[in-house]
Amino acid sequence: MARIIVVTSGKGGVGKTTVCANLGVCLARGGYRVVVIDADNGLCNLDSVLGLENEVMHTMTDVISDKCRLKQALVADKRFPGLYILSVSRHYEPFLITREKFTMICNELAKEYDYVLIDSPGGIEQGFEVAVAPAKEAIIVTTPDLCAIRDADKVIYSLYQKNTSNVSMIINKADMTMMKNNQSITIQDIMDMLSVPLLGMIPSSKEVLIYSNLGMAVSAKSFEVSRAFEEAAHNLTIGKRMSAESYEKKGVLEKMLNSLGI
Amino acid sequence: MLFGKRETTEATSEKEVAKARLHNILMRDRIETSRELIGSVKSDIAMVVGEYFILSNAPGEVYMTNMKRKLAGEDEKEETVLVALIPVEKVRREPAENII
Repeated sequence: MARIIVVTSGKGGVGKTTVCANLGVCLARGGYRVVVIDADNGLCNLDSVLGLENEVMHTMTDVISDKCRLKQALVADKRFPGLYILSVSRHYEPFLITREKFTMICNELAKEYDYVLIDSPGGIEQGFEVAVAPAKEAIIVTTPDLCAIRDADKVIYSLYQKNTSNVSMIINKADMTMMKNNQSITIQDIMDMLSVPLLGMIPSSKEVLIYSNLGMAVSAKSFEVSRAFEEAAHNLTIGKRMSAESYEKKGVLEKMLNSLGI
Repeated sequence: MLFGKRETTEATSEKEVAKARLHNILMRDRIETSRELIGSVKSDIAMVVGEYFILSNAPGEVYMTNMKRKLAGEDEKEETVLVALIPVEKVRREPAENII
């Protein structure tokens, strides 16, 4: 029986789809069978982030309206055996995909896969309600941006009200240099404010944009950001949580310079 | 500038200002999303105060706000405080029974 996990954030543009796609890739590379569901009704982008936009023939809408079977709507990512994606709909279909039907399909997938990751739409409206419905676990994606943290707080509150009690967090687009120079809210600050365990920190890096525009998974490369995705996915599988200190470690030289007040 | 003195004062304030703003915004949001909480805090406070005072019929008021406060030996800083206004008539002489 799979773990059904919703990846959500409240605010748009924090990197939900990127995080979801790369976690999926890392889990598949780790030998798990994974389905990543793009639950963004009408504005799905998961296919293009993974370069699978030409492979999507059917969507969940077709499954619900009996135009195809569930298996036919799953798109296999041939570069990563075990990784499948499923888009909810290419056009905005507000009435067809209900919480009940979405939950039923996720539970069906859960029988055959190890992980069902749901890429939630932004906001806290109907699409979010649908995406969250089947998930017992949630990963909050936020950034060191005040607005993103604020929206994450609202989403966390709403998740606790829905009994999605297993909530963890990934801090995306973190600029460690700015944090060290006291120009940005830090990892520790975000953890203190939101009181949610930390699954991982993804450093801000240009490779993410480059590779997502190329339709390639940056986590399968060998950049610093790739290792960050791998670590987060590994933590997810073993239930490990990170402390802020593990990211805010300073080099020996820097400590010496700091202590000298230089 | 390898050995230049690092500019910290201005930089510190950027992070600290952001953090303080975030803190205030979150407190306000959290209170707004849980108005029932304030409602039950209000009735609990009234109940406790009512053990010592005879309460007036005038409506009470409970709310969260930010307040600048200066404690001895510390700089003035802004804090989030809970303000409770419970109108009372007089001190109770005998212990209260079954208030409210």
